[in-house]
Amino acid sequence: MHRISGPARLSGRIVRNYPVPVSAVINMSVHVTSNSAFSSAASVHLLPCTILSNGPAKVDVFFTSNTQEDEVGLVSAFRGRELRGQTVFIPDGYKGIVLQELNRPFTEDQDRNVRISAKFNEFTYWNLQTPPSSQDKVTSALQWANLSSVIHAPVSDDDQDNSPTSIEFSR
Amino acid sequence: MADPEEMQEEISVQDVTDDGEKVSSIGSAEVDLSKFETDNNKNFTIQSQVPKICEEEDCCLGIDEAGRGPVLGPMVYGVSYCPLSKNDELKAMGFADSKTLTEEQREALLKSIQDASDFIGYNVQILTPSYISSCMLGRTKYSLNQVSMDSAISLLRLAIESGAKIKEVYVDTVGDASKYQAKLQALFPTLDITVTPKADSKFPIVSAASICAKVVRDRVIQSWKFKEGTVSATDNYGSGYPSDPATKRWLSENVDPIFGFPRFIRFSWSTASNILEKKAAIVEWEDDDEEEVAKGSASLLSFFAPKNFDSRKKKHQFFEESGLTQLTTF
Repeated sequence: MHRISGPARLSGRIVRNYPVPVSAVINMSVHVTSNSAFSSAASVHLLPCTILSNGPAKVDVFFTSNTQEDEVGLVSAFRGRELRGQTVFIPDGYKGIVLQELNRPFTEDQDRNVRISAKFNEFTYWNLQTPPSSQDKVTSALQWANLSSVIHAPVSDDDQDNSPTSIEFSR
Repeated sequence: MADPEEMQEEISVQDVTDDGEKVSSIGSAEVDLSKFETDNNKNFTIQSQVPKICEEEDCCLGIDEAGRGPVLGPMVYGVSYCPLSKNDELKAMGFADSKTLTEEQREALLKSIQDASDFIGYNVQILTPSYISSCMLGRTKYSLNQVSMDSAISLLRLAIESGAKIKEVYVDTVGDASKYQAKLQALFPTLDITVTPKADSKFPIVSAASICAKVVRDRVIQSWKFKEGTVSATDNYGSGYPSDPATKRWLSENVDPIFGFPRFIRFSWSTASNILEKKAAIVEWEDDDEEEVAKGSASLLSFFAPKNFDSRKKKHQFFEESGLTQLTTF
């Protein structure tokens, strides 16, 4: 069990191993439970819409069964609208986790109990009609992981003499 | 040595996918949908052999559709054509508006069209409910009228490109007849085009087209393979017309709170969207209020920096463009 409790000053830092910045504010604790049975890999889809509902969904029955692949990439639909998708991998050194909060407290200063219910190393990123590209926010945001590790890496005397470290962008 | 012409006669029906890939199937009185059924979200075109006489003599061509109104299943477009000189033979076959015929009569008439493959040719296009929904619900609106006209145009073009000498064209109208006529005439200036309401009861060649379309639509619906697996085609969903109580009941009883309906349903129909509004989770799309935003002008205040604005605290452009922000809670 990881316990991240306040008054910690984690704000403003992306905690390694968690793509979602897990941080805490003063007077509130967040308990993240990692169940050993959570090894189940989740298949995660990021849709270009907000579904105002929280709970299980018959993804395989309605969505995966209708997903096809063509020359451009993955193609599917949600609520009658065409979606174009691609598989996105979680950057090295990071992990994708699905957090579940069974009881959300009524006030902001109460402790929060969050459980890791599944993990993932890749997810499918869907766009409305247009195929995903490197210009999209999601792909761009994931480059930060790579960028961050380069700019935060310690600089030795040798490095200063040599040419700058190259940064690889995924295209 | 086999006579090449004789060999050609055996292959009477050709299936052509929208990718232009050709698959031959043998048999005359049947509609082969096996290729379509491998992906029933994708449009599909069935093309008959062009009769030799249609390559030599001037022909008339009729265009009609089936299944425009229903909230479920595909809309099917059909064209049929034959030489002008065969007009009497065509009349003798007893075509009428497909809506006034029974299913058995339509099946029998399609059989007689296929048996007359020495002088009648036809092309049919299946426009899937997925395709119709995504057109009508796209970022830029593509109306059902537009979809219909484009299908009609593509089938006419297919007939011409496959070698039939089309001279006269008869079309059952979609929307305003004179506008539609002007549009077709501009695209095909050398053709003699007649666009009119009820063309299927006025011209036998349009009736033939409507029978091809209607029989194919019925077959597609009867053999629809639900990829969702939750429902079967034998369930009683009525005629599919929004006014049919059986159709409405089936829709309300088969709502999934997240996904809505199987892709057999046209999500763009108000009958379907009204039921979803009541029985399924609300879904907000990024382009929902695009039109409203475009209408209004920017607030005057937006041109000035806010009072406490400190440009040194502003994040680098990279973070803004990537949608990255710092979180202190979740």
